[in-house]
Amino acid sequence: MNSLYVWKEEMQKLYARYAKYIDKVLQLILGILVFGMINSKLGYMELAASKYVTAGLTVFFTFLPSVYMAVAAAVLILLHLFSLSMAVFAVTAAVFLMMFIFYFRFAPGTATILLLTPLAFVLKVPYIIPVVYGLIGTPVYVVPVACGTIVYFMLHFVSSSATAFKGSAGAEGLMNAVTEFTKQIFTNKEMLIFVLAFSVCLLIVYAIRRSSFDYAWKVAIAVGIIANVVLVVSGELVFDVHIPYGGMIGGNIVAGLIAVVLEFFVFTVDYSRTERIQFEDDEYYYYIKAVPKISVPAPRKTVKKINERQETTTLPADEIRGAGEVFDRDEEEDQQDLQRMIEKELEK
Amino acid sequence: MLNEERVKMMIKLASYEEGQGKEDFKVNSYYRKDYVSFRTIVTLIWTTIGYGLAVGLFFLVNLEKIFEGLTLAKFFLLGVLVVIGYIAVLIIYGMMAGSYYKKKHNEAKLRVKRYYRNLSRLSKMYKKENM
Repeated sequence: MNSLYVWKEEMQKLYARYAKYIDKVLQLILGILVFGMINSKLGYMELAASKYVTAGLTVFFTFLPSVYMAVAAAVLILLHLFSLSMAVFAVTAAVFLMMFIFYFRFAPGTATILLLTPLAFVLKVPYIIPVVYGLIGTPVYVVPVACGTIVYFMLHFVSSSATAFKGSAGAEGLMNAVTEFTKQIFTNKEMLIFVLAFSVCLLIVYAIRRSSFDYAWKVAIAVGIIANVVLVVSGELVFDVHIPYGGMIGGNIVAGLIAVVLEFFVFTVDYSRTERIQFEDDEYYYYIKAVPKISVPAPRKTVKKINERQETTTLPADEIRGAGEVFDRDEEEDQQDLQRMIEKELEK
Repeated sequence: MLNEERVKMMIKLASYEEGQGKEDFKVNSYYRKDYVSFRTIVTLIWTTIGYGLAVGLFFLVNLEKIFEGLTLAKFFLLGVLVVIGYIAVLIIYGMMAGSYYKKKHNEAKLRVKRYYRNLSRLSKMYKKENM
């Protein structure tokens, strides 16, 4: 276990040293996944769906804050939907605008969650999101997670029934398409189940991990996963929809593993050395529990060269003999001095 | 010779100017009251648009249910509910925006103050070096 902590320290040091580059690489990967996913699932506008556009957008937005990437992703989605149907475009634009007005204007920094949530759904591991953001976030993160879930189900619905909305011409046809699409996306029972389940799960994980009892983070992860399964299954029974159990169990196991890794990097404490202090002042009694953090400093490696080749020169034999004599004579003199000093001391 | 402390201070100041400072200087150029009122009004306008969109989408989803057996009394009740909802949303967002922008202005002011203090420290460092 100790070596793991040493490895963690080394990883943190490495990250601190190259944070600028590591962040950019992560952003590049996020860009490839986000723009790639949008273009592969909703590539209705051929020009925007080309791999050159994907690559160009990814590279360009890697060098900008992630909030710009979220805006670019929204614009790209709207471009594709505009090519598909005016009705779908209008409703999606209205939904995006509402998300911006009611939440993202105040917390643009959380726009990354809006990108990561649909991505987690596409990668079949959506259960990670509420557990991870419950551990590292605040209750307000319920909003971006819910928005991300809505975006995923909206786009999933568009990609699975695109032909139904293609070419809805005329004012009446357009109105019918708008009504139909709005109805379909907001009465999607599966979406409602996930929005509710993820919101409750995130709040449960957050509440438990903030508690002061021992192993609160581990308990929060376990309870979060159980809450995910129980809530989704309950929703499934109540709303009578089918959600594959294999994906749910597998996804939750992956979520648990990732959450444990996250805990290892963010919250490592030693409960065996917990200290409890109690004192009082005029107004309050204080019960304090202090849990020490585990930190093992990475050992410093010093390289000692054993077989280092050294330059040697040949000295004439006379010089060596002479030096030996000098050394011998010095030692003799030292001995005599010492003898004299001892005699003097004894005489005293 | 380079003064390490001075270089550190310069990096700190430059990174602030390039990053958060840009927004902070803008925020700090207003009086707090003006800034908070202006931003709150903008928020209320946005909220009105957002509420309009939300109500529009709600009506689209429940179009059939609403028009089924619609009477004048029902129509009036629906209108009252929409207006009450609008006022409630305006109040909630108005209050939220007020406290959010007040906090934002206070924080920006503090950071700008710290920036000017560091700037004067830097200038003293220069003077000390040139003496």
